[in-house]
Amino acid sequence: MNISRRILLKAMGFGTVALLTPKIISAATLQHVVVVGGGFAGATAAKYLKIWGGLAVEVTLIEANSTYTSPILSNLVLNGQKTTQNLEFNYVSHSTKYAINVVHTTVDSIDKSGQVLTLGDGSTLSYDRLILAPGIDFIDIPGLDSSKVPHAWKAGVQTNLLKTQIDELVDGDHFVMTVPASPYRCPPGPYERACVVADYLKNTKGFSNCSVTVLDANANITVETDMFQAQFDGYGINYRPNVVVQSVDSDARSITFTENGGALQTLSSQVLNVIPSHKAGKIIFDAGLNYGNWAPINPLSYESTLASNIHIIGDSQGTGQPKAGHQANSEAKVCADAILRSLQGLQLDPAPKTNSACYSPVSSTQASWLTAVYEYNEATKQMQMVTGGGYPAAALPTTGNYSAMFNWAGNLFADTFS
Amino acid sequence: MIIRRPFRLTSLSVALLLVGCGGSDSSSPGDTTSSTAVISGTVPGTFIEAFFADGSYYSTNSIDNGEAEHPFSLTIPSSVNFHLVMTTNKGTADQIITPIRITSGGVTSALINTSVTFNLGYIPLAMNLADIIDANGDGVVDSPLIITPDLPEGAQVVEVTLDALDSDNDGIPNIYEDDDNDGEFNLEDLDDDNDGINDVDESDDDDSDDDGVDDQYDSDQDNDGVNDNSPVTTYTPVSAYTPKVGRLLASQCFQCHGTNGNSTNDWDSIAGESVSEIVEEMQEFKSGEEDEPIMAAQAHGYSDAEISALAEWLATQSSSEGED
Ligand SMILES: Cc1cc2nc3c(=O)[nH]c(=O)nc-3n(C[C@H](O)[C@H](O)[C@H](O)COP(=O)(O)OP(=O)(O)OC[C@H]3O[C@@H](n4cnc5c(N)ncnc54)[C@H](O)[C@@H]3O)c2cc1C
Ligand code: HEC
Repeated sequence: MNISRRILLKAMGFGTVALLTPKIISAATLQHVVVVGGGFAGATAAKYLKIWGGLAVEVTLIEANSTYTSPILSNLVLNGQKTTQNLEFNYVSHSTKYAINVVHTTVDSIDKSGQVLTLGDGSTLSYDRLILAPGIDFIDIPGLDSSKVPHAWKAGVQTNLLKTQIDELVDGDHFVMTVPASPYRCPPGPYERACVVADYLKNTKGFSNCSVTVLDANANITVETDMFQAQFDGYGINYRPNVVVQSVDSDARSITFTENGGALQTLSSQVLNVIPSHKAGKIIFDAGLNYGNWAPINPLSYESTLASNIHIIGDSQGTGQPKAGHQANSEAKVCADAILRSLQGLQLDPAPKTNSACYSPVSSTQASWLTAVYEYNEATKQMQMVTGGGYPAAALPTTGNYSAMFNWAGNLFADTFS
Repeated sequence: MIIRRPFRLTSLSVALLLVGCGGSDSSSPGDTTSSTAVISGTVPGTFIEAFFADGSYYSTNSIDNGEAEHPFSLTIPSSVNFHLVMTTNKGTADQIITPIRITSGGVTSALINTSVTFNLGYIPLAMNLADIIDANGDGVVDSPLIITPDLPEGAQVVEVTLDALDSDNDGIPNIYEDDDNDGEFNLEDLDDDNDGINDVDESDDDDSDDDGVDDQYDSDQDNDGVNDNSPVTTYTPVSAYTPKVGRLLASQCFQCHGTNGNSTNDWDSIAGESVSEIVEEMQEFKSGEEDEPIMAAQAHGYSDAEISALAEWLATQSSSEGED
């Protein structure tokens, strides 16, 4: 029975083969943009390439997993306000609504001169333009096994592992976490986590004798300093800056570090949440697209300064712009527009803008926020915060901001994934 | 060596056209022409899509009014050929995709064109999988539904020799084709000819140029997009990319206000407002007259010239408040 109209036509001997069989246009005629990584950066880039480019471009999105769990709002899994399922997204809209070829595999290597990718199944795929949006990778810490001592800085399994460990705490136990060295993903994120956990232990669990310790690789709270300091004081969080982690004993859940350049010391706790310092995603290093820990790019196009026709967006890119999902979405649009323009031989937009926003819950009812708009500085060829704009943040955490946080995240999620 | 091409064309013509679907949510991919028409009608709960020959894409959801017949209306470009596809039970296991054909003036075609607003009346779409014929199980009815609305002057069905949106002229747009009957659309199918070898795999050598067409049927062995038997040559893409002034700036607002300015929640949509409304509101945020600190911080990030540019573009976007 399985006979399509076309096969039927063939079987009935209509006309000649050359006249009636369907034909597929060759790749050479349609520019092929391949996007690697379907997080906030890559998923947005693929979507906007099609919204704006339509038929002028063919887009393939390669993402290792068929389900993406958003790190944004994932601290709310720790205090039971959300589940990781609430934060899951897929790529159905990408394939059905935007006609993007979605492929769930990994990209294992890049032939930069031949413009060919080798995929996880050994097959190859060529591109006219490549966008790499692989997120972050962690810098090794001796002894650290993240399946025992979670980072929970990529969401999903890790988030649930940390949640389970926190729920095993009893009154009098200790929670110790580290803050990675700047630049890292989501500047307020670690401080937000310390507050959410302290609030949960104290006000939800009713434990008055638990301690929360924050070991910060940075010299001070990196953003919203006064606001977080006031929260830390309120919760009695033990904040220790200028920490350099030396090693971790993952079974004993103990961490060895120096503080202010002093002698080595070791701290043990029932829950140890080590968020190692970051670097660009592995594929960036494998392809030789890094300079130091990040990928240098031209902010007018996000094209690598080390290889042509390869663009890098999101957390892996090495501009001074924050590593955040809202920002990644923003960069993706500038990049998509730049690629579409250059495929048509048009000038790049000389003055693109980007913007970032982070909402930070500090308890199960209150949140704060910060936002910034970035502009291109022609002299430095870098993005910089709009002059006079400052780095505006909420004056105080409020319940109004807490509910606004879900409107913000809802539209950001939809703009990226639906 | 390339992944399968989703867009199929017949090799009849000398100048080949390329099509497929680029798409935006409810509104056009930035097409700013003011000449639009509106089609409307009633359906069971349905997602309605229109695929245009110029590459643009429009969609909407019918509105659940609590009755069996849900009204819909879709603003579309005037005088551009398009296909209509309606999907019931969207996103569920019982999803049914029904391409539409129209009979009018003795002609039946899936290609429609209108410069005027008109109503299609009630379209009796199937709601149960048991009620449709779908031999290959791809969720698309095997025969497009034929409807016979009264078309006003200015609206007509169109017949073309080469319908680039529907290469095999079966009324099912290419985007919903499943050539190897494996239940996966070509678009998502890594192995279009179902020979068990991914189309990207070099060793699939029945198809020496890897274009997804086996050699015995392939009249373009050098993949230059031109029929090897054809004397004439050039390939012209149907749609080229034109950057729209203000659009990239406006897209920077979509993280908070939704794609193309259509919010999905309580936060305001910014599509469907006039240029002066947007400019005025932005100035009120800047001056502090309007007290919304996060929006004020955003407004400060844009110059007056940038605000007018993005407002000009936003004003071309229609609001789909309350819909998909
Ligand atoms: C607790 C927390 C709170 C946060 N809060 C905020 C906030 O309020 N606001 C905000 O803007 N941001 C926030 N963030 C930061 C935000 O989540 C990240 O900045 C964002 O996810 C970065 O997006 P990305 O696309 O660059 O990377 P990712 O989201 O990490 O996506 C990368 C994707 O690439 C895939 N991938 C990687 N390599 C390959 C390969 N070789 N082949 C195939 N696929 C590959 C991965 O599977 C992954 O899906 C928060 C983060 C955390 C942890
Ligand atoms: C970080 C989030 C954020 C970004 C980015 C943002 N806005 Fe807003 N905007 C808001 C909030 C919050 C409000 C007030 C609450 C609401 O809309 O319901 C608002 C309100 C508005 C309003 C008033 C809506 C009305 O109908 O009363 C306009 C107009 C507006 N924004 C335009 C813009 C434009 C243009 C941009 C891009 C340059 C932009 N916004 C970017 C958060 C944002």
